[in-house]
Amino acid sequence: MNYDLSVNRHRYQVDAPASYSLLDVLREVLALVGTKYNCEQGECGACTVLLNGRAVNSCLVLAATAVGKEITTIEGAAESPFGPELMEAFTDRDAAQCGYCTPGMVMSGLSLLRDNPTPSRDEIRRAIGGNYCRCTGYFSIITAFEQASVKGGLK
Amino acid sequence: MVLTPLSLASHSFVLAQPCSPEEVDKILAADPLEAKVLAGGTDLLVQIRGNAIAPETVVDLGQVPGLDGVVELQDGLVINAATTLRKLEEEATVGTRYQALIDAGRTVGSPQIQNVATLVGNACNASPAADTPVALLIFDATFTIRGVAGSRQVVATDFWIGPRRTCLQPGEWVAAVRLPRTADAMASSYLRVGRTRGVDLAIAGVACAITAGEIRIACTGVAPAPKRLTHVESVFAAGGLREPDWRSITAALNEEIDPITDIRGTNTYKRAVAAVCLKRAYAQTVTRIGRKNPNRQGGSDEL
Repeated sequence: MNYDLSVNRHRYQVDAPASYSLLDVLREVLALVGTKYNCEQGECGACTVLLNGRAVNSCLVLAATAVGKEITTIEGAAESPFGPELMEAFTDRDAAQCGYCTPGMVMSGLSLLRDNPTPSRDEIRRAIGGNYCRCTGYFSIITAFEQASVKGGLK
Repeated sequence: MVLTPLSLASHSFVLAQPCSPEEVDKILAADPLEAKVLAGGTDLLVQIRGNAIAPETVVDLGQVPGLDGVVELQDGLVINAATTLRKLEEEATVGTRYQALIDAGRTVGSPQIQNVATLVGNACNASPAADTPVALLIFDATFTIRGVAGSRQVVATDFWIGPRRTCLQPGEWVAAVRLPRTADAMASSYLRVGRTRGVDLAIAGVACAITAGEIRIACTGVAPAPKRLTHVESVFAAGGLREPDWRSITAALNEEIDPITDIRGTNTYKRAVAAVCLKRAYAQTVTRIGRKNPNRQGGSDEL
């Protein structure tokens, strides 16, 4: 199938089989490899991107159905609302160890903060309920989200 | 060890993107066994990838006008097929009148799943441990089913007939689900226990609605399909809603459910979890009744 996708505010021309997921197209066709393969069942969140500003599992979206929607990947996070603050907070709070869950976590964070700029820790926990991390134990990630929120830094 | 790529890229199908409900009817009628409907896709794509199904055509509802959204009518609410769980959560009327449906939608999968998955798709996937069907059961929902031969209405209690089986015939699809208007004073809850608070199905879950001395209860994870518990309802009503006789209610519950032992727990464990969910769902519903009817003494006139 031939179609155009808008990713990080660039227009890309795609020629790919109908069965390609958005994750397949991002990585294999567009070489945007920041978004990760992992479970491919919509359980781990490593493939999380934004579709019209909301977090989705790109492994469960057929790429051809994302036409006409605004796709944001980790490569576009620096230009997104809360992006720079969140990424700085991840560094400040040691919220990444192996880094594999990190793009997905950051995208879930951008989705949350766009809808709720002052989340409680419980709301943050709920927002990352679809993102697994095997390294950090989540605490530093939650603190990083809190730092990036409008409520601002902690002591 | 050779890792087999799970990517969808290794499957092949035609993606049809019809522009009207009639076109959907025709495509499904042309190939009823090999064409599958794509609403949100969060169940369909997992099944294709896992080789549970191998459709030749996937029919995307995303371009069909009139399938997305909630319509409020005098006598109820219509939720169209392509309405995501996220969209449902944002509709004020749903939150006011059908709170159990919001509770259920918020426990499905994860935020990422809820942003894409549809209520109708979740119902049609018909997992015996699904969350939204029990909310639809307590509200006496009806499904509008379409096919090339015409359309028909099926009440929720007739919709789920077994594990992963609905009453849909090949070539049929659900265009909308309709909820009758509730009494203003009605309150409801859905509550479940899963293995984690993240992505999982229910070990057991209970939806409960109360209004004017009437209680409605449905349970998931405890039978081949999500089930309305009419026996438990009558035992509850017989004992009075204000101070439930939990001994006889729990006995009735154990007569009416029969969970299988599986990866989520044993028969015995699930029975215990269902009883806990029932108590908690009842308590939460009573609290919500009190909030909805604050002028009455203790809000318990509704009980």
